[in-house]
Amino acid sequence: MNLSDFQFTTNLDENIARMKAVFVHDNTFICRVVQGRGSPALRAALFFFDGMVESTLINESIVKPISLWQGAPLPMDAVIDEVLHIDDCPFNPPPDKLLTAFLYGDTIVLVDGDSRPAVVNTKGFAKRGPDEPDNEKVLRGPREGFTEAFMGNLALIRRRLRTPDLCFEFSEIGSVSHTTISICYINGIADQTVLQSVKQRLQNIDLDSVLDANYLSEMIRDNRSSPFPTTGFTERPDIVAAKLLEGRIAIIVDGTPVALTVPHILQETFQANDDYYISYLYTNLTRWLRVLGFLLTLTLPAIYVALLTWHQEMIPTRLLFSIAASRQGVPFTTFTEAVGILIVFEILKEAGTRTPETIGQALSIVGGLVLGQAAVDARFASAPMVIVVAFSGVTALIVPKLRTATLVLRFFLLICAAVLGLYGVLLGLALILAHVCRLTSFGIPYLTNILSAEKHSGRDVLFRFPWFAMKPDKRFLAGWNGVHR
Amino acid sequence: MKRIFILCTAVSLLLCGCSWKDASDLSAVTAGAITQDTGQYFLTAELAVPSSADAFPTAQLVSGKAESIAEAIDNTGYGLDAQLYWSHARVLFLDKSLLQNGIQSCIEELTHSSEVRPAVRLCAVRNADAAEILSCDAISGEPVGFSLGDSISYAVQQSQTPDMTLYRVLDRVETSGVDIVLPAVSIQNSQAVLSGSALFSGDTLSGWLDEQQTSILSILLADGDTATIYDADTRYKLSNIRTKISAETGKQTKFTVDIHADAACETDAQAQTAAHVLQQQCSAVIQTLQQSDCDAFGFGRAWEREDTQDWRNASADVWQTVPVTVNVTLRAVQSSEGGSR
Repeated sequence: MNLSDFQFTTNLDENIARMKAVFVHDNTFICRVVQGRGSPALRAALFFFDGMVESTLINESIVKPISLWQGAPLPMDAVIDEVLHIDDCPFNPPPDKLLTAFLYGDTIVLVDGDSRPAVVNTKGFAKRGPDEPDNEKVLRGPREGFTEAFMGNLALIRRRLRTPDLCFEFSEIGSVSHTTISICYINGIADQTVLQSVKQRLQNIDLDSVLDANYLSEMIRDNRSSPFPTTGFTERPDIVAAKLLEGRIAIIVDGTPVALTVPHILQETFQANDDYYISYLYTNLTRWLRVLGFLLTLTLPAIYVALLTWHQEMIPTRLLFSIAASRQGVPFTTFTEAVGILIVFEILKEAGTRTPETIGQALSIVGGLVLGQAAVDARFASAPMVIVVAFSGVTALIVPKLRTATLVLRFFLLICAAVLGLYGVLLGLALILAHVCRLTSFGIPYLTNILSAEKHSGRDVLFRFPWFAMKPDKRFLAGWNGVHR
Repeated sequence: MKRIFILCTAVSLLLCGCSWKDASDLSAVTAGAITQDTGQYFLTAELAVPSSADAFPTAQLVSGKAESIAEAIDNTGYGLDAQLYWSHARVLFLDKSLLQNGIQSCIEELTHSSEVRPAVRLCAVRNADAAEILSCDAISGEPVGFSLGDSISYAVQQSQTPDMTLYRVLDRVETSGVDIVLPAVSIQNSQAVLSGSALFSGDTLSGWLDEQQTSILSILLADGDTATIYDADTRYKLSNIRTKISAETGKQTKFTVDIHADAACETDAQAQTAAHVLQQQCSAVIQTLQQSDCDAFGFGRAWEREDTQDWRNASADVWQTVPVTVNVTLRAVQSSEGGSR
C-alpha cells in the first residue's frame, strides 16, 4: 500500500478500481456506489470496512440523502454542505490522515467529477460497557472502568473534571499501528517540567506498535531495571481524575482500558482505590496493614530460613522441637525447600491467573489444599514451611501494585538469609532501601512525601487524614508542582 | 559500584554460604550433667530426638570425658550424625564431687566455651550422681532435664529458688563479697525433684538448705516481691517485701537485716505472730549460712561500703561470728488489699 494510492482522480470508476485493487486481499473492505435521482444523477462511492462502521449512520446520513438527491451533480464540498446529514466530516484531508481515519472506521466518500474526498466519522466497532475493572474493585465508590474505546475513556475523565483547564493532547505512536494516545493533565496544576519530560520521552519512542499502556511505560519510565513501579497503572476514571487533581499526568492509549499515570511514587503503592470513599479511620488501619503485609511478604520466608539455618538459638525451644519433628524425612535443606515451595506457589498463582474463573477455583483448592497437604504427607516439604510460604503469598496479595517487587525481592532476601542469616536479611533490606532512595519518577524522588520534611506533605502517606483536614493545594506532589512553587 | 556489589556477594558466598547448619543437622541438647573424677570431667548430655510432629521428642543420653570442659563437649558429640547444639540447654547439673573440689575452673571453662549459653542455669545435685538425674523417670513425658529446667524457671519466677545462671555464678566467683547459692535437685522415689539449695563458701560447696529455708533465703535476698512462709499448719502470704541489709561499724561490728512487708492477716496480732515466725526462720537461715561460711547477702560488701579500712583489717572468717540482727515488721492487710490468701 502506498499513500499515492489515495491521490484520487476526477473519474469515480477509476478511483473505485484503484481502491479495490489496493484492498483486494481484504474481504472486510466494502465499496458501495450510490446514485441520486437527478438527471444527470449525482454519483458517489463510499469506502469503508465492515465491522468498523455504524451501518445505520452510513445509511441514514450518507446513502439515503444521496439516493434521494434530485438535483444535478455537485462538487464534494457542496455535497457535504447540501446533501449529507453529518457534522463530523473532514474535507480533503492529507493522504496520511485520510488513510489513518479510514483504517480506523471512518468512511471515504468520493463523488464523480471531483478528486477531493470527504472522510465521514462513522466509527461503530463493537465495544463493551464501562464495567468495574476486576483488578480494582472497591467496597464503596464509583463502579465505572475504562474500556478499549479511546474517546469513551476521555469522556469518562471529562465527566468528572468539568474544568476548562483539563487538557487532552493527542499524538500518534507506532510506525505500523499508528496508535492514538492522549496526554491528560490539568493546566495550572500539573508540573510543566514533568509535562515537558513526558512529551519528550513519548516523542523519542520508536516502536512499530503500541497495543497496551505497558509498551509506553517500559519506554518512558525512569530506572527501567528496578522492580519497583515508577509509572502507575489504573483502569478507573475516578483514579485518573484524582491523580490529575494531584498534579500528575495521565496517558490514555487507544485500544486498552489501562491508563498510565506519572509521576508514580512509593506512597501510591500503599493507597487503595477506595481509601478515599470510606471512613478514614478504617482506611488508616488497612493502609498500615498493607505496609505490614508488604514487609511480611518480603521478609517472612527469609527470616524463617535465617532462623532455621543460622540462629536456632533464637527459636523458642519447644517450637524448635516442633519444627525439627516436622522436618524429619524432608530430604531438602531449609533454603532449597523454601525456594522450591515459593516457586510452586508462584506457579499455582500464575496458573490460577491464566485459567478461567470457574476452573481457577478448583485449581486453587487442588493446588493450595490438596497439593500442600500431599507435599507435607509425602515429606517433600515440612508443614511450617508451607505455612510460612502460604502466609507470605497471601500477604503479597494485599499490595498488588508491588507484585513484581515482592516476587523479585523475596527471592533476593531469601538468598541473603541463606548466605548471612539475619545479618544478610538486614543487609538486603538496607540495599533495597538504598535502591529505593535513589529511584526517581520523571525526576521526582520515589520517596517524596515519605522522607519529606514539608509540613503538610504527609497528610496522605502513612495516614489518610480526613477530608476536612486535607488541604487541596498541599495534598499532592508537594513542592514539585506549580502551586507549591 | 556493580563490581563492588558482585565482589561482596561472591566473598560472602565463599565465606559464609557453605557453613550454615540446618535445624535437622543439629541435635538439640536440653540439659547436661557434669561430674569430676580423677582430674577428668565427665559430661552427659540429654538430647531431644524428634519423634513426630504432634509428640514431644524423646530423650537420648550421650556422654564424653576429657580433662577440659571444651574437650568433653567435643567428645560427647563424637560419633553422632548430627552436631550437638547446646544453645537450647536450659540447665546444667553439677555433681557433688565437682562442687566440693571447687567450681571456679569449671565455670570459667564453661564461660569460655562457645557452645554453652551464658544464660544456662546451674543446679547442684544433692544425693546422687549428676548423670543419674538425667536417667530418672520422666514426670510429664518430656525429657527429665528439660522438664526440670521448666520447674527451675517456674521456681525462680515464684522466688522460691535463686536464679543462678552461668554468668551470674561467674560474677559471684570472680567477685569477692557475695557467695554462690545454687538451686539443688535430688532423687526421690526414682524421680528428680527440686530440693532446696546448695551453699558455697567461695567456690566450694559448704552446706545445704531445704526448700522452706530456701524460700526464706529468697526473702532475705529480696529476690521477689511476694513470698509465703509456713509455721506448722499455718501459712502466711507476704507481699510488698522490702529487705534492707546494713552494716554498723565501731567498737563491735554488727549487721542488721530489716524486713518490711504486708501480711495477708485479719488482725494485727496475727501479723505480729507471722513477724515472729519470719524473724525466727530468718535467724535460723542466717545461722546456717554462717555455719557454712556462705555470705550470700554480701555482708562483706555492705561492710566495705560502710568502712573500707575496717573491712580490710577484718579476718577472713569474721562472717561466721559476726552478730546479725533481724528486724521484721509486718503490716496486716485484708486479703482484698494485700492479695488473696
